[in-house]
Amino acid sequence: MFIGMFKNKTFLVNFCVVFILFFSRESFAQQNESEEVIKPADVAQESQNSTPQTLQQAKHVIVHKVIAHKDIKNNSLSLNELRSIFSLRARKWPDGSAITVFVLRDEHELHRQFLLKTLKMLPHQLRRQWDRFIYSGIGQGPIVVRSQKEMLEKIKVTPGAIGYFEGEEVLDDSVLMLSIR
Amino acid sequence: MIRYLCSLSVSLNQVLPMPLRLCFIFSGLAICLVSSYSIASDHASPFQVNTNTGSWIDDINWHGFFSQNFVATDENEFLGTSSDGSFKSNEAALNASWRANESLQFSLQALYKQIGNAKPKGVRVDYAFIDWRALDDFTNGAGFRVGRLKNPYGFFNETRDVAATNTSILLPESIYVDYLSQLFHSSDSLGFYGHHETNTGTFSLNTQYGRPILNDNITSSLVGIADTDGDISNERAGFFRLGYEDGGGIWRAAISYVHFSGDFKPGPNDSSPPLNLSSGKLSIEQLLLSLEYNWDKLQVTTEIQRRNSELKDIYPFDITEKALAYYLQFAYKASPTWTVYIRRDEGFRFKDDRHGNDYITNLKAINPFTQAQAHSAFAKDTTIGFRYSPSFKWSFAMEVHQIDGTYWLPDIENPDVAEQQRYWNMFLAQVAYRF
Repeated sequence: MFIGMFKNKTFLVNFCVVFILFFSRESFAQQNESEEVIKPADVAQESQNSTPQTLQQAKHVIVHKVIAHKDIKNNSLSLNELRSIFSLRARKWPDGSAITVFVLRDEHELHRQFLLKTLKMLPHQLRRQWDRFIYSGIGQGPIVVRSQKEMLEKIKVTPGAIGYFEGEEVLDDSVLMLSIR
Repeated sequence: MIRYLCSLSVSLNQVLPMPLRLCFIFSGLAICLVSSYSIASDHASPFQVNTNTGSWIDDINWHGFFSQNFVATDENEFLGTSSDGSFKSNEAALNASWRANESLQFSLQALYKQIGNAKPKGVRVDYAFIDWRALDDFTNGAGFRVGRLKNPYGFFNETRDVAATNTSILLPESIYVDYLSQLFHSSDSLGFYGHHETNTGTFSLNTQYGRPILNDNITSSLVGIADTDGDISNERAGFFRLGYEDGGGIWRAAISYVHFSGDFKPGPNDSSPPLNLSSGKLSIEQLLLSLEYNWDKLQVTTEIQRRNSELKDIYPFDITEKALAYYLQFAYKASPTWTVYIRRDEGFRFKDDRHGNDYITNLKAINPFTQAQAHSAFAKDTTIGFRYSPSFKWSFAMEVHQIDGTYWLPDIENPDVAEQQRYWNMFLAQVAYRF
């Protein structure tokens, strides 16, 4: 029966119409969702000290901090250097120690915002670069963590680690905060 | 899924010895278990390394993928007996990589791939190599690779098997020919690579030289005779690719070149009438220009390829083909999960004889009874489709093709050339998973 339907020459047209209907509905739903930049639940779960006021601020202004293991000697990185680290092309810090990159999941809004606003990169392009490393064997992917809290903990204990953090929470000197030149 | 596993185990029975078979089945089961755990609990991949553990075994990174396609055509057969609906297009792979230190990495991937009725079916080593990074700072990187390497060619060759990394289900067939994919896929080579960062973007260079991986199907495709019993020896392939990518990922461009050569020796059937083939040389060289531009949501990709192939002394006359292929693709990312795409892909066996008229006239002069048709000298394919990727791991796609010509239609599934239809349509659906 299916093949019979396909043999009909109007199939291509039908396919397009059904698809456009379905697609427009989906993109509308997505639009509503994206109005809210950060899901409050994420922030509330991850920064226990947050007050309603800081939540409000976080909703409107996202300032990612690039954080690294405290033994790293660089205090600042240029945008290009940051991109070459997160694109996994650079494997070593200037002192020779290995770089370990931590990120949140691709779908995580904080991750997307970090790529768009701080790295100024298109998320799907960075993913494509990572995929090439992972599936053709010429490199290794970044380490994916579940939450900011986990990222912070991992960066504290992993020499050469780099990641990002967002929120009003005051970071103590157990991690290094890098400025971007 | 169950159907897929059944077909996988049936084909494994034919190919692998018992201990290997068991290993593969067990590792497959382990993957299924772990992946179902990760779907259910929505954890980050359990395969991710914990860098703080001491043992080197814990430092191995594991990844893998599988995909299953459904193909239906109204005329002609593609990827199996597609006029009845075919599931004979699937792939599964498992890879491991281990970094001994920051400049030495070992990588290995085992791949199972079925391309319609074409052989071989079975698990093979897709890549296995050592990567030594000789130079590494924030501006430059360079190193060497030795072993079985993925061939750098165009934008998509190295990751073409990972369905979720492609926009469409089928890559443009006139350039990324599925039935010849193994020839250009990976090779036992020595490679050099490097990159240089500028203020605006990154230049990258990949080059390698070695021995490509051949099988009977590739030999028959190269010689142009479906049931040849000849062999190719002294096969060599060299690859070169120079690329530039904008720092923000807005645009990228690449120029790729490949040269393949080998010596053909006919088998007993080939050298007797009616074929009367003799020993000779064959060569292919391809030049490919690639360009991609990304607006916020719209992505435009185009590639253009010239291919020269030559058969010397094999037939009573030398055969030279100067082929041309190009495509233009628009992909619109309506949201992070939904992509819709449209593509026009055109390929010509002879760049100076696009309708194939001279080709048929010449063939008829040699063999008045030839069944070959002019439309086997070109193929123009219009594709429209969409991809839905709800997460990193899962991806679903559907697409339809409207095709004029049979240039890249495989003879193995359409042995009677007189029966090949000029106008045909194709529908594909895909389920893909990766971790």
